[in-house]
Amino acid sequence: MIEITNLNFRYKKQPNLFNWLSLSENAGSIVGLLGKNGAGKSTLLKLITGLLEAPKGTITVMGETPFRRNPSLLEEIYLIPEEYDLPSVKISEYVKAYSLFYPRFDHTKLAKIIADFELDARQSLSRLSYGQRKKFLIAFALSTNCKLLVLDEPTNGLDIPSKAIFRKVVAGSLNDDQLVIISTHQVKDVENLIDKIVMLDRGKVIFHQSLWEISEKYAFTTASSLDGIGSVYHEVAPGGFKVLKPANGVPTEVDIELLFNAAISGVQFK
Amino acid sequence: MKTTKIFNFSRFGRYAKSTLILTYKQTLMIWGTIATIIFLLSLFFMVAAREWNNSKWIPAFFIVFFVGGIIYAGMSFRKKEKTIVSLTIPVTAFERFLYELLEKIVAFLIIFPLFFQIFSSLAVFLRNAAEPGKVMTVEYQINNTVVNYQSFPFDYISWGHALNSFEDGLPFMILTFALFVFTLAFAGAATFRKYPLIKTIVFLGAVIATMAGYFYITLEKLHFNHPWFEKISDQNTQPEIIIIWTYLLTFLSLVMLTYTYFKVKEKEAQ
Repeated sequence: MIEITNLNFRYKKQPNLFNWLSLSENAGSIVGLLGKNGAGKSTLLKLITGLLEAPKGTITVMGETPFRRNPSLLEEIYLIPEEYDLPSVKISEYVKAYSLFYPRFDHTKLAKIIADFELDARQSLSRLSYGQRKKFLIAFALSTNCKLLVLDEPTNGLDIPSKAIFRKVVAGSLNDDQLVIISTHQVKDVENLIDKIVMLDRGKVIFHQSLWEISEKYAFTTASSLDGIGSVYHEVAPGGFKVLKPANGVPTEVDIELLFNAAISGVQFK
Repeated sequence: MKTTKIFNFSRFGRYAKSTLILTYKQTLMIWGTIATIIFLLSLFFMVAAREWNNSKWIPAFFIVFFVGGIIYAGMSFRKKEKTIVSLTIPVTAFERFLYELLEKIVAFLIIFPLFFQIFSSLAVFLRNAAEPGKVMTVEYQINNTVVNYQSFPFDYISWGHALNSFEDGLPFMILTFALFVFTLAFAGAATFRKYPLIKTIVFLGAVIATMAGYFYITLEKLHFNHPWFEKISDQNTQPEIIIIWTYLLTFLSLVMLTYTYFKVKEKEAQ
């Protein structure tokens, strides 16, 4: 669905953000896009959704160049940006105005997710809190049934129960022909939701694997001492260490935070 | 290239409907403000001036018309957060451009004169009611019948008059001048990211000051004679000059609109 080849990009008067970055992603996954501040996560999402032009390298989404912004492609892409400005209208008016553009928009699904998030469709968007507006946008995005959903920091501003609902509604609303990319700093919020991880660092993709592959090859444990552990990477944790080591046949839950820190510190994953 | 990749009537209709649903309150507020300003200014003019007649309505009309039109056209397009939403809506750049053009320039050119007629007449009615016959009773002719009209007749700059007096072409030149100024403000709104209206007004001011300075130096200081300058005051050659200016301003407006379209097409959300 997404093919990026040798992408080079920089903002005016800035150093290169991406150096020969290549990435390929197919439908049927929920991908977590991780990276340090300034690694270019939001920029990559903007390039994928056609908000920015890629001057060098190629980007195709569903076979088309996103920056051409063909309506037939835009009908299949929905982006929730990190910063957004919603009009001062009721939820129902917003839905009436924008659902027109998405041919597979599902009003029943929207009503259900809105109810799950405890929102009221009669409310005005200007009277909602930041978190409530985010919940509405998530509900709207999922209801479009677009083939590519791009969510930039979707859990920012959500309260703790809403984060759990977010995971539930995202996991329960998708089809196999859809691809969801979630960019986030809050890795705990998307654990048990994402099935692939892409990590960006210094202009390149430094990690691109499914959680299933990782859990096959590596074990994530805690230990009071590092003696005889054979760790690939470890971090000090309360009462000992968090340890990443080769798998020994017993599957463990992937600690995305530990995995991220290991990748950023230079651990090479096979 | 398929036509649907540039313009599609049903998609444009959806976009217009969607935009109207989302912005009708602001649009009503803007036109309400314009109506109030016309009414209050008309009342102020008549109260402040001892005599008020048709010849004074014309400059009053044009001042409000040009100032209002520049501000209205300068409000086109979107700020950053809205740009992201706007660019991801499945419509083409041409459809977005056309909608803004129709709303911010064409609609203004049509609605403003009507509003001026209605609300200045209302002001005249109020003023005359306070002091009957004192302020103005304008006589003018319709089909050889003298009509006593107790409000701004407006006939002088009406479309009917413009068409009937095509030989002098002045109303068309004024219209094309208005179109040019408004398209300049429109282009400014598409070009500048921050404070587009202020920057466009400064730019316009600089252009006008340069032109005024040029004529001041060449005519007053250097005593150069521009042949066409003399032609303007010559009754025989006046229509010719007016036609040249009309064509020139129309051409410049088209250049501005083309420039604006390409700015909209290449717009990025950084």
